[in-house]
Amino acid sequence: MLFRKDKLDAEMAEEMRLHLELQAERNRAAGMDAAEARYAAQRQFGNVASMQERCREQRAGRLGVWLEQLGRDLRQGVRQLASTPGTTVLAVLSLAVGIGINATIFSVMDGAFLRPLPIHDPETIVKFERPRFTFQELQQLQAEMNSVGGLAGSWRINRLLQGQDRTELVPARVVTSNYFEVLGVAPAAGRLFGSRSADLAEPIVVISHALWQRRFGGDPGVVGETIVLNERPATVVGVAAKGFVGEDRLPTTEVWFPAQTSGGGATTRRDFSVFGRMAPGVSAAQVRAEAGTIFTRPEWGAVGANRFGERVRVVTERESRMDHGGRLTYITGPVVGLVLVVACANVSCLLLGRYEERRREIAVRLALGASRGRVMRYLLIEAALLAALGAALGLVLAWWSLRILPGILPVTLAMFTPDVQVDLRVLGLTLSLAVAATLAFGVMPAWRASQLDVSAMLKSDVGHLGRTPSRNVLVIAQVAIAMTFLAVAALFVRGFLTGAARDLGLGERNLLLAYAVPEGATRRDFDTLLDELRGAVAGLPGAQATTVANSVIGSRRTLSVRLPGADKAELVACNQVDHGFFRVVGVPLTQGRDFTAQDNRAGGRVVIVSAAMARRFWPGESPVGQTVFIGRDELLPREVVGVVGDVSDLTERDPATLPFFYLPLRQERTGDWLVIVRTQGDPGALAAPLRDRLRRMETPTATFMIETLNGQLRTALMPQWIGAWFGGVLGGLAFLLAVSGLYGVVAYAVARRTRELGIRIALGAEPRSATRLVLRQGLMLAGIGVACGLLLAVAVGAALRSTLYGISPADPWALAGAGLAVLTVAALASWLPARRAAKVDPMVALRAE
Amino acid sequence: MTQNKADLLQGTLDLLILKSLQNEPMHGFGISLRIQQMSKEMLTVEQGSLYPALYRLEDQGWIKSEWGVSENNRKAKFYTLTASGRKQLTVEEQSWAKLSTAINFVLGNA
Repeated sequence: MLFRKDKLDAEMAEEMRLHLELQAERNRAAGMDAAEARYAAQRQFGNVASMQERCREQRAGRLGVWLEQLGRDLRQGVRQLASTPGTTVLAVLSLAVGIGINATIFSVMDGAFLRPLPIHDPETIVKFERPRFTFQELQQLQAEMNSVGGLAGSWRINRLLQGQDRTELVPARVVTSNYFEVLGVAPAAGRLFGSRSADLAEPIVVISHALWQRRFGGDPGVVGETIVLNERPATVVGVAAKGFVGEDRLPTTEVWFPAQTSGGGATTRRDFSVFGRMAPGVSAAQVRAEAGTIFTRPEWGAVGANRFGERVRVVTERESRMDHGGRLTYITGPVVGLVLVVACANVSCLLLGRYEERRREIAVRLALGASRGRVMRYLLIEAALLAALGAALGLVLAWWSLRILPGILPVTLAMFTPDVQVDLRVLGLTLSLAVAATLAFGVMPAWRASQLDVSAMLKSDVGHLGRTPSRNVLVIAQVAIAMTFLAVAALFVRGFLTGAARDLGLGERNLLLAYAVPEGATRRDFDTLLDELRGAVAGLPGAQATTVANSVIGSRRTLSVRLPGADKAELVACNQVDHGFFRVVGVPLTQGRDFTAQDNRAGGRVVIVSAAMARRFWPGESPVGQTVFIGRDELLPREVVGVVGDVSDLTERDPATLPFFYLPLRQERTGDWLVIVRTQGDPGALAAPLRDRLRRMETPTATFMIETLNGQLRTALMPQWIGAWFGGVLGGLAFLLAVSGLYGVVAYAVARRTRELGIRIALGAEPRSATRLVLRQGLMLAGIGVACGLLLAVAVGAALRSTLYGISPADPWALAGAGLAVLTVAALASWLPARRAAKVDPMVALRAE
Repeated sequence: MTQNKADLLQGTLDLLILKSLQNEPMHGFGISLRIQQMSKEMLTVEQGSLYPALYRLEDQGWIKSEWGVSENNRKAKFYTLTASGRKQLTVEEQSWAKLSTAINFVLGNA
């Protein structure tokens, strides 16, 4: 089509020239002189170029012309972008950041919640949520329900996977033997469970594809191998399909055991979460209806509604995913979307400024007969080019941040980051974001640019794209959004700092904590093992003191406490500790004595209480020597032997209001041991030597999750930590964009008012007053933005109150700090270009026009 | 740039062009003169509309063009009605007759 263009154009020109000549002849015949006749003919004919353009559009089909023009506009657009590299790079970077962060978050959310499970036809899976079932109940339900083809069940456990070099905690599931069959999962290697799996004498397991890759390097020889889980050997019979991590994606499952369904054990325990495959042609509503009638029968009383009054809820696989993460997606989506909005506003500003500089060129195009639509399209193509570049770079950014993200996140959070990647779904999202962005930032400037008053524009140089309220509004919006993010981040930082700095009741902070699992330990020799363990750690260089407990701070257990003679018991949190605990962690012993090695199962039944518990149960008297019944099954009372200081439970609550008590570890039947080591210097440095020392003990002891006390406290403050980071990173990005927008507006104001400033200076105004004039404009915009942003932040903070750790959403420190920081940087961003105003040379400024 | 106020009804320009070519081939200027004459100087065809219309009609295959020599001995492009153009002319004449009758009814002139 293109090669014909020149010939056709020449013919068209020829045809129109003839028309003009004939018209002129006619005019002459009517009595005009030659020049007048020609001029009149031209006037009558009108705009030749514009008509040729429209003729071309008529011919050769509209699509062809359209493509041809598109090609030309594209080339022109590329040339334009290349001619102003600074603006182009800024715009592309803005968009890349906006699109990149959206693609990243979408990838994570998609990987975690939005994507359907990698199982056969996930649409037809229904889950029976909340109440758990025994195996018999599961079978009974299977027999009663017609709308569900196959019912399977599972329950979650954690197992320590022991290995040569490391022991790790792997999330596991005990499943009915038809589990994989109902879900429609294929093995990646070996086989999955069959109907008789449960009855095999030898324990068998299926492992996940990820575990297979991680621990066994994807070696197919793993099938038939024996792995040790919680000191019990089990044979790997197969590997599940790649990507399959259980019927819930979070938390993931890495090992599957068949449930023992004959004989005792799992059969009588109400452990199973149940799901099923709908019968062909049945809808979820029908299953729901059938379940409704079944569970209201009296024999289902125990399951139909559990002791918390929750009723069985039939949900589809999709609903279940949305229940878990949908809310998070709906919150984070718009939040990161805001960053893209800020980026688009920024690019809009840049484009407005750029079109302003090109208003002559645009006016010439319009004068030469380009239609408004044509000019708009031409400008929009430039915008689309920017968006395409931004999207491409954004994808690279997303890919890169997904790679480094697991490394930056705290361990516990990284564990929940599923296998995410940039895939077609993410590409699709990015593409639609780019289109949306083009429309968002391109249309308004292009529309305004094409509304030029051509004749005014060409006659003089004073024509503008109107005044610039839209740019100002854009900048205010940018600053406001960035301010909101930053202020909320500041609130979280304050919460985090307050939480981290509060008095926990522990005198010592240099503590190393290691969960220990002695191999082959039986409960008989706990005492010996404890002594061996403590002895092994005591010899470690750098270790000051050692003890063992169930936890270091807070409680993993709550027991009922009843005074003799009282008929009501009260639930109180407790910890099980070995002797020396209080000295090691720095909790003061205010009365009585600490536990000793003799407070074991052979010794007397004793308990140590906290000051808060003493005040609550024995107000006004000394608890030492008093007796108390602890736990539901205990027939004999315990004697209080000591009182210790109060300790926080890691929530906002005041430790002095939290009753707490301690039982001697040696009197408990728990193998759940936390080795606590107080160190001289940085506790983290002792982690490797400690692991090594315990492994080489006479009774080899595996450790997992070795962490410092401070690390554990940080984990407890995770919501604040995430809030601070998320808000800070997004706010920082948004703020960078806003600052560049502000800079652009002020710089542009200086450029546009050069003449006015020149006159002012020529008339004797001090150069500095010119600076002030422009600076004031920038600060005004920033000020309005900051004010709006702070108001929004208070509103957002109020909604997030529960995670702010005792900080008021209107916390003056956080808000004033963030506001001041933003204003300062905004002032700097305005001052830099404003300085140029003072340097305006009146002569140059006036001549330039 | 502004469009002409003496707007012809959408589609009527095509009819006028086809009609003016009914008897002999003509070039663009000739067509505009012919329409002017036939309408007793009541209709003037804007060149801005005429040429795009000619190209459109040619694209649709109702007229065809060839280069010849004009009355003032210049190279000129002459347009001829094709067979399908003649058919189209009949169709448009009929539908115009119907339309004008209908409008006259509405205006109460019939």
